[in-house]
Amino acid sequence: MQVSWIDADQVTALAEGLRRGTVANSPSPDAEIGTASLIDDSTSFVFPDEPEHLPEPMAEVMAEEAPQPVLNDFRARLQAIRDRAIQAGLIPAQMPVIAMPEVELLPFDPQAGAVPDRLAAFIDWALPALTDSEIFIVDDQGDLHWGSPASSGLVLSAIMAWGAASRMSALAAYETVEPLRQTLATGRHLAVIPCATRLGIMHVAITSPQLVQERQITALRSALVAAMDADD
Amino acid sequence: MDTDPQGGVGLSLARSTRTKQGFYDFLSGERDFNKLVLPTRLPELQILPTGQYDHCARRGWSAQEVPVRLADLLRAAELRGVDCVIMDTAAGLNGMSESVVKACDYVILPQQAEPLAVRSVPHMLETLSRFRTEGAGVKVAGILMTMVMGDSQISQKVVAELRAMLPRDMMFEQVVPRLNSFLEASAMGVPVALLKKNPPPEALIFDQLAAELEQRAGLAQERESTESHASLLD
Repeated sequence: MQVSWIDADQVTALAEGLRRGTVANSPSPDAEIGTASLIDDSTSFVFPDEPEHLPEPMAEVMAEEAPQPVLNDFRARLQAIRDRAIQAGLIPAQMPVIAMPEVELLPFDPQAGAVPDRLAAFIDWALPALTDSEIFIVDDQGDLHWGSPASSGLVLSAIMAWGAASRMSALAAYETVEPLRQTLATGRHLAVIPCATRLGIMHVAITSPQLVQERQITALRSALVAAMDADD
Repeated sequence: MDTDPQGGVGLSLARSTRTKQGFYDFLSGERDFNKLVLPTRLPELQILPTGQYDHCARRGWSAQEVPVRLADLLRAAELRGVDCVIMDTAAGLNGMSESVVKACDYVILPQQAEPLAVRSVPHMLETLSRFRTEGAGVKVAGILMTMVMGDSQISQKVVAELRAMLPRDMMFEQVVPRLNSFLEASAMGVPVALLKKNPPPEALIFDQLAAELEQRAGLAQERESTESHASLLD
């Protein structure tokens, strides 16, 4: 999975253009390193009068504190950050959690065809049952295959961060990864459903005013897998 | 020379730099460069702190005059006998940073080894290309990977992807890892090499970096042409 999201050809071309102005010789591995000590070891360089009070370390970003973060631990940290933000008045308190009314998803009839057509059929089937929701389909490399790019930024960030965390967990190698559920700052709910299709892992991300039900999640996952697996 | 209004270069060494005049005061009309430069206990190292940025910003300075004042500044440094000026800028290649970079011979591009940060590399290279077409002679000494987390696959992947895309001489071989000792050094107000009586091993990173920069900027050839080496026996 490429993490830099950079077009290699574009960057290579830009770099070649700039190289014409760079120094031609590459650094020599035998380059001299200055060894003379010019400092009187008994005196400090410049010391403040007394040490400043050090800010609280950001435990959430210190990799060495969490050798193998599991998904629940990751979620707990995100929730702790959110709680502090709510207490500080930076974001509104969580809206009351309302489960989405259970609308039965009819059996999905997968159609063969090009991938965009298969995804369109999937979306046409799923949307009527997901009231006032927006659906995104993102692959494991972070490429958006369905959904509005204008409103996908936060969803993509959440998927990539969560995907990285779940891959670091040994459980991901043996069990189906549980969907991500997160409440957005807007009060809407985000559900991200990883689906193992023949084209690789694809994530169905749904933003909705209410929680997506477990049975709907199961049906959506099965339907997307079937859509991708349909014979040509 | 610290051209970043946040003043990190000075503040990494002494709280008192907050009250000193410096770069922005020179930009705003202070004529005496020697008055603004702070000596250190290293006789070969002097610092021009940021100065009173907010005070100067209220008075204002002419944007058109900035390149001229920068040229005056560098000329004053040369007259003072300075061999090498390292200018720290604020993040981003715009505004004052753009003017400073254009005034330099070489630019080092620090790049955090994180996916979000590295995605701006194409924009950064495009901006430098634009500087070139506008007539700036600044060359790229290299992209320097910083805050590299050795125990993070993602961080390592970021470095690997960039190395695969960029020519070898566009990226420094040496990287700067994310280490607690750097935080300790900042807290103490000393360079990391002076943190303890016996410098911590990571202090060597910056020696390596300096050596690499000397090669890339041609400073090593200059030094070798002016210095002679005495025999160990005669």
